[in-house]
Amino acid sequence: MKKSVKRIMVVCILAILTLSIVGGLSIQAAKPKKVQLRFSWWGNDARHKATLKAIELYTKKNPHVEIMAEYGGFGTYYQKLLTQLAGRTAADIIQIDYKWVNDLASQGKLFVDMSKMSNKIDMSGFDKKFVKDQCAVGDYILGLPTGISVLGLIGNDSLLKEAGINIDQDWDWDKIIEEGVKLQKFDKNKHLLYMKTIHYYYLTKVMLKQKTGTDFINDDYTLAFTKKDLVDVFSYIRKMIDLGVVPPLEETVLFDGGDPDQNPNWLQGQYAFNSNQASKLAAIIGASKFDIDVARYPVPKNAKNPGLITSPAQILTINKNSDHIDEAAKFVNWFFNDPEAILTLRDTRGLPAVKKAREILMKENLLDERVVRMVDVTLPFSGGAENALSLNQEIETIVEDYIHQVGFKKLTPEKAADNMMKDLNYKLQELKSAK
Amino acid sequence: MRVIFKMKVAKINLHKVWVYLFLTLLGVVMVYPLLWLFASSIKPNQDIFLSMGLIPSKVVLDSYIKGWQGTGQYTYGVFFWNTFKMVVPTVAFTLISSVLVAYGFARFDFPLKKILFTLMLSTLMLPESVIIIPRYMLFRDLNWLDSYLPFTIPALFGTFSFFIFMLVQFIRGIPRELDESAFIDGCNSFDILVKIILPLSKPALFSAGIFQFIWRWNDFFNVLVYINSVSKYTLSLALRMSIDITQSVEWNQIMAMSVVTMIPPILVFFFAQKYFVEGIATTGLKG
Amino acid sequence: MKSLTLRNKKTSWKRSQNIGLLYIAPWIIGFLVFQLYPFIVSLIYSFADFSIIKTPEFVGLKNYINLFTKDRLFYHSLKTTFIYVLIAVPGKLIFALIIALILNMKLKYINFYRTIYYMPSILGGSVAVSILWRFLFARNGLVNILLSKFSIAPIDWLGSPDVALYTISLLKVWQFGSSMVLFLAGLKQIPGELYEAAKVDGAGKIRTFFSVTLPLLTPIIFFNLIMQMVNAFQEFTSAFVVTQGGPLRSTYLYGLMLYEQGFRFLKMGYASAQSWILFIIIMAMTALVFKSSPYWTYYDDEGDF
Repeated sequence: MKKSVKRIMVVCILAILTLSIVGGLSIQAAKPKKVQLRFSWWGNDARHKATLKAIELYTKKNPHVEIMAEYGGFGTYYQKLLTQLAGRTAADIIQIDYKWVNDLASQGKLFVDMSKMSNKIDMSGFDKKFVKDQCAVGDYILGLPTGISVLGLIGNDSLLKEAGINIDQDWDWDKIIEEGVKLQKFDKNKHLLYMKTIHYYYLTKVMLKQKTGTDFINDDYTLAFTKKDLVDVFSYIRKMIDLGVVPPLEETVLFDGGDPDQNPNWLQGQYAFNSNQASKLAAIIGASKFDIDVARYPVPKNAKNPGLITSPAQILTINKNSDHIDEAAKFVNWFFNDPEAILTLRDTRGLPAVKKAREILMKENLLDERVVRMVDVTLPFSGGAENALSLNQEIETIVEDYIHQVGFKKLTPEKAADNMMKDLNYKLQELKSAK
Repeated sequence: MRVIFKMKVAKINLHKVWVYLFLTLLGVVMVYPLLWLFASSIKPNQDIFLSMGLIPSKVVLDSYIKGWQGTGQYTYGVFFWNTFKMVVPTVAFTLISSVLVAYGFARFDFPLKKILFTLMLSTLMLPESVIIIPRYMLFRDLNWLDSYLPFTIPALFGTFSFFIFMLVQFIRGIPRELDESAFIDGCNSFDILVKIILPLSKPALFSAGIFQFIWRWNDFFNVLVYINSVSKYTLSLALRMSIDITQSVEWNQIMAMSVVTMIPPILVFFFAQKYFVEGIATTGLKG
Repeated sequence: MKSLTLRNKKTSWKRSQNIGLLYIAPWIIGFLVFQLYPFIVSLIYSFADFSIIKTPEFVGLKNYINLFTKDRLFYHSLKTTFIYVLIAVPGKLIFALIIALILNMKLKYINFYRTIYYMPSILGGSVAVSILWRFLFARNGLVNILLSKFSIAPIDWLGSPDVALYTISLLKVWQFGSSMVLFLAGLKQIPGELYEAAKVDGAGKIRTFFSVTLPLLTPIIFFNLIMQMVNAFQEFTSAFVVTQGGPLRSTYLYGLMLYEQGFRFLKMGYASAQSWILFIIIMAMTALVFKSSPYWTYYDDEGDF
């Protein structure tokens, strides 16, 4: 009896000892005098490699600075960032997505207000309005945009030419139907426009803005459109599906998790256009074995607001809890403005938002002409920044649900519009009372 | 006599042929995804999403070399070593602690046993998503972030209820008379555990070890949250480290590294399986 | 004399039961240190407005009331999850048991086959799975190509709201490896004498299966049933990586819903309330299975739990 008690005690003591030894080891040795910065971002190999190279260049010039790179894929980046922000363990320099700006800003001042950093970061190269519209809430600028991205049409030029459709048109919604029907006549298996669910949502938002002239949800938590407006949009979507202008949802929804570069139907040349961000262009060009060209997103002649979506590719922020805000700012300044940094980073974070950077890359012939053109043809038709409610994630899921209801023909456009407005008003009341 | 015997042999063989045919056909279905994974890893990047076929239009092998290099900062060699450093102690600690606790639950009748057992099981029933944040704070306060301690130390303290419950079920299948006669022969409870329960639980222990090895090997969400430094990334993090929705992804390299990553779990399974299916000496059990 | 010492020993055997507490001590420590705190905190969150980063604000039962009276997806998601559990769990267990019985035979290359059958489980929730699954089950994917050989019209396995949930359940069944391994280990634990005895009694293969194999396997069936059920109720990965809950929310499993509430909408308090409801459901279902177990499980130790 006693023997076994002893043995179990020994096991327990051993366990606790191991715990304390290993635990003790984790307490790091006293830090050297060097300044250590942490920089977290998401991206692909090309972005990782370019950023690591830039960091290396910077730390060579500033030997007292050490920059820890914390990079990964996009899918779960937000979850990790939220956890770290909650634990006050987030990096010093943090890359964020423009869709998170409002949610993060409502959590208190997590990031250094860039409007107060102009003495440390040269911001003359940025379009002031773009920064204020897209990276700020009120006067509080959370971060600086790395690049400019726009929503446009990416075309399979080989197929378009074959079917006798001219890509260089002043696209509007009627022309989409017209050319879509033409393509169906050319080949019953081909569809003019491929969209993921989220792009049906963008289409809905843009069309509503073009009809009403404002964001689809007002700042005072009311809907900015009438039932007729919404029925028009839903009927248009239904018409596109019925006429085969777009592929049936049953065929496309399963690829919602990827983009055309992962969709066999696109790669096999079944679709003529994909509505997407300019930042996606390189990936699609790389994966497609046919010619790719770009066109502006549809804008009707009588639009009250051209309504096209323009956004920062990503936003670079400085953590308010950082111990070395000045050193971080110095790096951010170098990152955006130094010619060497620009030539190293190139367009791995979208078409650079800093004017000088665009010029340098253009001169060195390091930008794809199509990316530049896509942004150039879209910017004059920009609908400006969207307000917080129009970017709200819960609102987005409600709209997407009803797009599916219409697209899968479970509800008529009228019924779907009714129900959706009811659900939206309900959610808006909830959001308002939570304020 | 002889004829009948021969017929019987023939019948058995025919029967076996059917079994093999069935196993092989179903096996193809089971393993097709892996074949596809392998085929994708030697296809040119453009071809992967173009067709479902297994035969590449052109064989590309540099996906393995380039994939192994990763982003150039750390190779997959580092990620492999990290994964072993995290997984091996966790598996060992899980087995040790789970066996002790399972033995306690299965063989002794102490006060509050039912409540404690229910509590133990209930830890499996609250979704991870809502425990992540408080657990993160706990490990932050212990100063364990960016290390493997959040994986290894809890394992030492029986926090994997799945394995405790599993071993309880197996130990309960071992006849109690064996313990009792050993006790009469002068063994104490720890001797019984070592001399009787452990040898007879070999299949269960090996299954538990295999499961835990593979699950920890593939674990993504926990590692994502606790590990910051790329130098400490495990394979599951490394495999997703370059997947960005808006950018081009070198899929063939990711597929190549997925294949390489799966080799250790497959080998572990292949070589450990004989223990979980052949570990028991049946004689003397019901003595 | 001899019988006296025997009796003494038996009493001290009884007395030594409390030593069991010592054996479970590591778990008690682990539970108190690592598990209890997050549990309690998440329970507190469920009564609070908690957006992950800001400090939680106590709101009483509001989260729970909203959940039952206002949430447009709660009941839908619950229903979806129950259907998923009802398909995936029995499907997986039956499939695993059948394959285990076959792989338990004395065949050549059996190690090789076992490994093959376990491989889908090694693949886990890796990135390749989502891509592959889409490829297999797309409108012009491999499965439909095969079906067309038997002149069956193409089915939108993942694209149709009426079918997608079943396809996702199939993914779970396909990864049946761990249940199979446990069945195999359980089968090997059945003493050979029992089979011999059955043979002597003149029992056929089928009768032996039902009178020897199955009863002695019930503890493992019980375990697999509980664990698979507990896991299936919380299933997240397949819906997250393959369908994102769509189309038309047909695969909007509970685990995905609460992840979205927490980490996409930043409503961690609400997600915690949802989790505790799920916790109660799983506890109740598990208790049901436990209560039913005396009627169908066979233990050698005749003990009760």
